[in-house]
Amino acid sequence: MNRYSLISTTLVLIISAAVWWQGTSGFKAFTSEAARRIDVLEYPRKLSGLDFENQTFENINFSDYKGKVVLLDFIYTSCPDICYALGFSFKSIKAELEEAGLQEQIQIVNITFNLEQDTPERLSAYVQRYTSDHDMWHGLRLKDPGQLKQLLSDFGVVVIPNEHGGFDHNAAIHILDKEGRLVGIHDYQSQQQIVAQIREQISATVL
Amino acid sequence: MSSSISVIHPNLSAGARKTLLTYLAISAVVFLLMMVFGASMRYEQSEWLGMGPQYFYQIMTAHGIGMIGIVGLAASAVMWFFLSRHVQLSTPILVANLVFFLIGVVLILGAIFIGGFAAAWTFLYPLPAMGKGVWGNHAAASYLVGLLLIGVGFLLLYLDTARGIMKKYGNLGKALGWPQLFFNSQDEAPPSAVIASTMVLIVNIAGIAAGAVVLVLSLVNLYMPSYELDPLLVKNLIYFFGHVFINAAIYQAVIAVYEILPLYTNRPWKPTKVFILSWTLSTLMVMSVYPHHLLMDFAMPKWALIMGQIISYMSGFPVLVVTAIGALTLIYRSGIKWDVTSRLLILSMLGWACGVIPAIVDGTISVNNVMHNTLWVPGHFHIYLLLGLLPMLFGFMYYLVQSNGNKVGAVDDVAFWFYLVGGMGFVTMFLLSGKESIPRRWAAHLSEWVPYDRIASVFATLVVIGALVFAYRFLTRLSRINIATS
Amino acid sequence: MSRSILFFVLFLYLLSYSIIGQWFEVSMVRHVLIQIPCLVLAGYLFGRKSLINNRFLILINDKGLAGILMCIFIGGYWMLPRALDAALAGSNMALVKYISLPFFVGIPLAISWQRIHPIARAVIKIEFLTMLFRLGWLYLVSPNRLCNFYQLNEQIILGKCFLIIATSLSLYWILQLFAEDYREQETLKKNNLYDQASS
Repeated sequence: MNRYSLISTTLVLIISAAVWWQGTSGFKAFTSEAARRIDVLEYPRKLSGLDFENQTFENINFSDYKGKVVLLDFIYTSCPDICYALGFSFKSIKAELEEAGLQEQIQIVNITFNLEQDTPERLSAYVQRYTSDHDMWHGLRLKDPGQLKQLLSDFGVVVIPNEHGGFDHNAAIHILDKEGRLVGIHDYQSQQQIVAQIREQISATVL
Repeated sequence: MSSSISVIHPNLSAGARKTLLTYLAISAVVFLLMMVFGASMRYEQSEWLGMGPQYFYQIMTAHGIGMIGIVGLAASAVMWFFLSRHVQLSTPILVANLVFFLIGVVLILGAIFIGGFAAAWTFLYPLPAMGKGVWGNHAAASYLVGLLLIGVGFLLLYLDTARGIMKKYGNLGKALGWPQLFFNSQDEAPPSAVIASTMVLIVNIAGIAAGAVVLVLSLVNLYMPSYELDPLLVKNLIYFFGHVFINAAIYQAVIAVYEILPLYTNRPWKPTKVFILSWTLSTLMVMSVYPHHLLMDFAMPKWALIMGQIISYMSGFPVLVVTAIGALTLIYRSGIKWDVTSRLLILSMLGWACGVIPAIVDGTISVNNVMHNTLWVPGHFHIYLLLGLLPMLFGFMYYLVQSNGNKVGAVDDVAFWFYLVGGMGFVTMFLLSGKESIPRRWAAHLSEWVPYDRIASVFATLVVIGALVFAYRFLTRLSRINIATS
Repeated sequence: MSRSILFFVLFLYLLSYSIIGQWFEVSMVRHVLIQIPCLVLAGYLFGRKSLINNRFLILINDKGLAGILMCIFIGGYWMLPRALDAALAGSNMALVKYISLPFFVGIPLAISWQRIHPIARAVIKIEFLTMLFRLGWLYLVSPNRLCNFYQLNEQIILGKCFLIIATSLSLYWILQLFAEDYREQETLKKNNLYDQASS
């Protein structure tokens, strides 16, 4: 093989390795969902200060949760399947943390992306499925629908309408630290890991 | 005509010769080692060793995969030697296969004896992912990757034989002799070595491709358990791959019979129409018979199981009958010269033919449901392998050792009888144990089974002694092997 | 030459930013099985037509090694679900897709395929088939959506399509091995190379 081909082959190998390394977060993430999870673990993500209202018509900003560890998911209230699974997972995590006496330290939040239909009343009914404690468990909607794109892109969530009039969306439980930064994303089935991370975040000192 | 058997290869390069002898030398050593492993399993069941179940299952895994791999390697050397007389094959690819093989062996041995992997050679899903502390995921992965590399090596080798054959004969149909079979072509049919090699490359490339799919998916499942595979589909693919590969080893080694026996009887072995037809039928049957491994899986579609039973009945026949009858007519009143080579080759015909009987018994669905998990089944495949395949391979080694005037001593004759008596006794004990419903793959046996195990152990020892002499003879005579060019 | 460039550019445009391009990307199956192969094909046809005898490319692509490696690694990258998502997320990755598939997969394939060792060609074909089987199987059993932009049922349809394509392609290639005569092909190919060298 001639010298030029040797150089070109080496270049191709180096560039390919770089593309693959970059494109898979060091051969760890082959889907964007996995990439998003690895990314927030390594680089806690600051979120925009958006304005929400909750199921009791209170104005809410993420900064209101300062000092608490937030468990958060994205839902729409007419969701027939995955949101139920997420909800029951929250309920079970909540029970485990209450048993350990940590209920004061956490906040559970469902954010709807279906702003056309999901009124505070519907959010209230949604939260009522799992708890009657409407302080510890909030259902939020954006006040300004124009900010939805910003909100979803902050979290790396993609919502696509499906043919049944509903939506397909990332089904995951997000954890915000006491500073309001996104620090963890988990499968709703991984209760053990979720509780472990929450405990770790609760015991972390606030700077 | 001199009294010695001539070993001729008109165009064997020095590099190819060295590589082939390396293949065979490694094979001789590994045969012996794997036989010791096999015998030690029987000693353990005889309560003579006390190695414990963990080592037993490691050794069982190593014995299984080691034998499958090494007979594949040795048989491919036989095929290469005879095929390369007729078509041009690539020596670098022959070397590459060996390199892939050795890297794979290191990974597999590491997985078993360092990592503790002991899921049997069939790595049936989901067992590799369930080491439960006996072995870890990395050990299972090392085993699977090792197997994958060995597959890649063989894939290269068979692709090269395909290229060589198609370059000379045009395409695979012509190389299988179809113009002569179907179109009454008056051209001379391809030599038997070419027909056999074509059949082997077809089935083995298909088998290795299936193996490559299932190995990678098993690897994905190891590290991402949420990707759950359909265990029955995985089992189908593994047995397609495994069954084809071990069958193809026999079909490669038998080339030695076609090429060497005529030298002993001074009668030519010409491919007839029946011969060509039987190899074509076997090509299809070898690929469709594997469901007889799944006769106990009631979830399999019924038609597949019935097909498995019917083809089990038939698949042994075409090539076997043609070869055995061909060999008999070749020997009959030929004044055949009896030495270790010819004896081993005739034994191989006998072993292959006898192997059909327990195979058919086990291939019957109603019998299989009762017998498949007993020692009957090791009995069945040990007849094929220990008395059919290995004698072909040892016979080929002796053919080289006794090349062009070289002689061996009386000890080799004694070793042959040790091997013959030991082998027959050994497989008979398996069959008798199967008849008594003694389960297979059990490290410890009930006390009423132990007498069977002890008798089998004695026979196993005889086999090992015989094989030890064979291997010793081949290794010490390597440098004196004399292959003439004309 | 200039006309082939024009067609090439036009074809790329149709596949990418136009309305047609968006129509492809709305569906996972059309995206993966039509748009991406067409982008590669555009580059391949252009390469076959205009670049196969380029002296510089021949010089730096001895035995087709650099080209085929580029084709495999960059093509393989676009098989990652994550890469599809990235191309749809509205970032620069869309542009990267429209450039890299024709230029770094299609063209290298065109200028390298006939130059690599025949055994390597066969290995690549078999690896391509087994990869389709593996991907098809994985797409069918994946418990989650692999792409955030596509629904689970589309992923399952795509998985089935992979299996169908892999099966048909295997059958086609197997038939070829029994139907064609590779003695003539070898000599034909040699003549072609001589023709090219002398022209």
